[in-house]
Amino acid sequence: MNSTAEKGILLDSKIQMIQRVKARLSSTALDNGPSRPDGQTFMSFVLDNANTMDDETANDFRALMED
Amino acid sequence: MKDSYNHNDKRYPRYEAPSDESLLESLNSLQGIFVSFCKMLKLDSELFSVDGERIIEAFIRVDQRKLHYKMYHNGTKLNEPKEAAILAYWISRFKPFTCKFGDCYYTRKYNELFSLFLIDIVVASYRNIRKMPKLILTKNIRRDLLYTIENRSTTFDDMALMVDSLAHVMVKAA
Repeated sequence: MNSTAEKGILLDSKIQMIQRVKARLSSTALDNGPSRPDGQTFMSFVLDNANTMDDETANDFRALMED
Repeated sequence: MKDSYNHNDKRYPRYEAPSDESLLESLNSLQGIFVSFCKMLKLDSELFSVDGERIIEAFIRVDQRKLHYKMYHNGTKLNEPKEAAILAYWISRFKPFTCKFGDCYYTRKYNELFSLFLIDIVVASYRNIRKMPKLILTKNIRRDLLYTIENRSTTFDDMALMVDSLAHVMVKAA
């Protein structure tokens, strides 16, 4: 095998390596995105639900405050 | 991104913080959430003073992280539990709420308790929207979470992972 061919193989494998790493880093399986209705901001979503805490959880919070 | 960075190259836009109106809306919402938090604890919200600049900085830090996800993870958008975790992280670090009574210990504690409140509300609401079974956390788990927020060396990404796991855990019926 002459040196030009060797260089060609090396170049091919390097390009494959680059493409593999790029594909791995562009994965979209990291998150499933927001679930609130379209157009609602995150803070208004939290505000709308801020009074929905049940009594048992609220009692836990009051106990933690007094710990 | 090329390694020869040119500051005038329009292909690499600089970060732009949210508009004043958007930050004002977020501030007003947070004020309402804090009032609900005080009501839940049976405290008068007037007993607290708020450092608005620290809260605005927390909002901007969260927004910067959202942009990071969008740019470097193929347009991925943050779900609510992760966003709540990152906001809770910055609130627990910046401690924008100061109580006008008691000592520093209570000031620290209310900021961290409020962070936990945000996480709790968002996890419950998120699971409700996605029609997942209600997650029942024991007082000891909440105490551990509070301890983690208060004392452990976590990053906002650690917090996001932890809260996202809580939001998606499936509980098997006994």
